[in-house]
Amino acid sequence: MLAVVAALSTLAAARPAASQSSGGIAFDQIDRLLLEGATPPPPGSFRDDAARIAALQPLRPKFTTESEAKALTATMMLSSGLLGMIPIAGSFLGMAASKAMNAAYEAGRRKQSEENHAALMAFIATGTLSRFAFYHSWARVARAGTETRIEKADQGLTILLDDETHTARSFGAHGDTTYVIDTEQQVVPVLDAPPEVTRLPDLVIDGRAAHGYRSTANFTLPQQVGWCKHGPHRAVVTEYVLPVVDPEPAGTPPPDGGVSGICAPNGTASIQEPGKLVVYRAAELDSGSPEAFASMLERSNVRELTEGDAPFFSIPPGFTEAH
Amino acid sequence: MRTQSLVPTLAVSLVVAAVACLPATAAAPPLQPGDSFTYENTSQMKLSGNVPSQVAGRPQPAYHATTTIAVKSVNPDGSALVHVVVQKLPPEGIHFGAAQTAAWNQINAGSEFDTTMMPWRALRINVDIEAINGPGLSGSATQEHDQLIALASDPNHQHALAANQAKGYLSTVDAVAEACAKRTSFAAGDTWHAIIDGLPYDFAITGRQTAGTRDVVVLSVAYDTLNSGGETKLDGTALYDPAAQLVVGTHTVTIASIKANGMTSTTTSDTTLKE
Repeated sequence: MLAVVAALSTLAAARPAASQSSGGIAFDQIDRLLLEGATPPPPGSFRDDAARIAALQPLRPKFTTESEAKALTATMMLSSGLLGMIPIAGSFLGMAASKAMNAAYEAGRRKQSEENHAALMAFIATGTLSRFAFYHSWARVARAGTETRIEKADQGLTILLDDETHTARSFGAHGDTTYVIDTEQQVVPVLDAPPEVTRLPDLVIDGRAAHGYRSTANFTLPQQVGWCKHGPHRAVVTEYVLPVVDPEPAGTPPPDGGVSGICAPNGTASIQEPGKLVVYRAAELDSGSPEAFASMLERSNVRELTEGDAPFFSIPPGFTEAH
Repeated sequence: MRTQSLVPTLAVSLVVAAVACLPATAAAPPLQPGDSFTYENTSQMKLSGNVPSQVAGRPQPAYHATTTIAVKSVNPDGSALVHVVVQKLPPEGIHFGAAQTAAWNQINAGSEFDTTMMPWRALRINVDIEAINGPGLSGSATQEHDQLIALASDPNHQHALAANQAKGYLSTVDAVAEACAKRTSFAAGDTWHAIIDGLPYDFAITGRQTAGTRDVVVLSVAYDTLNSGGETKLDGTALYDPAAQLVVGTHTVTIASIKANGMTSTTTSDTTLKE
């Protein structure tokens, strides 16, 4: 199971540019990783899960040595950062996290730090809450109490707001060309058969009717991908979709129907209703086995933005710009 | 062979600082079986902040490595299957006796792997983390020792480790190659951005000079990533031959700090194409 944790390293999802829709949209999102066979909560659990996150105590691990303390502290920060930065995380950060996690785990294992391990697992399983907003080509993502990132693609501008120090930093020269380059080669999973898709009864989630689907597939990986080891796997992906335009629609549909996306999430777009907003996704891998885990996405508070929300994408009053 | 920092090189041999406009990039000559590229890398790190006083601010031993890339075959799209050999020298300033030298050579054994080089001379390296981590240790101390020896001798582990190391040594070289391949002209003052595997790089053409027989442009390279865990900042320069679509050298300083424990590492790295 700890291999799974270590393999958080490759959580490197690229976020496509926001759509050019006439209006805008905002929503809150919880990302979770359920380890050691934990069962995903049902759709409609957002409020309970958000309350659990809000009540989560900061990690206060017990350390035997100073070096162990440093390694584990770094691990916890990086793991929480990874979970919270899913849509914008970079692989470099992931690699750093992997090394720190491996080092931390080895240190913890050798020092019998089971309490620290359990605390870290609980922290990851509780997840993180982010608030997203999209308006024209602008995007804003905030992790409560930590950092807010604003991207204005039309201006080549990125603004980072540090919510603790109330400072803002801007990156990117106006008008410069920006290229997006992904060099990491895709490992193509081999499907035993096309994914089996079952339509689920509609559910009312957050006051709106959502369409439900369950995809099941068996596939084999020729090498490790993200947190999935090489070899055969079984994935079950449950997804509920709102009839609302997704500000981050997928490009070309993946050839495997998206089932192997559980291993290395590369977006949040709907597989079953492309272009529509996913409000619940539970992707379970190898359920019932010792290596089972699940990744979760829950969204709520979906609301439309108008022209009056434009200032929301600028440095707020009270923040000092750092250079 | 020890490489030289690009900083003095730039200061001495900067021939033309103000280049109004350079010609469009010609397509690089296609890769051919037998083509070979060798990069020499020197890296040195300092730790500061919340670290023991014995190491705070003091340079750690410098590490030298050579990465040789040999084209084995060329694909229809112009990319190539290449064989990469990573050779690491013992840390500078540390005397190795016969036993240590033998151990070091053992560590270096198998430091090779196959991967893809794009037509624009950037490597595409997949790192198999599972092979690096191995299955984990269990049992008595003796059993764990044996398991570690077995892992270190596993060819899959060795190849994955070499791939990880090469990816690190050539990270800036490959980033520059990827970012420059997107450009059709290189004019002094040009600036552009490239988000490469999630890292937000800034590039700028600062001049032009000769490097050996090559006519190269001088670029500044930088990125700064912030997150709730800390900050990683890279600043550097690179020499790039547009006609050959080849990175001739890089010099970078990377500062990584972690908020949680107050540790900061500063790593200076120089990579030079050996010709």
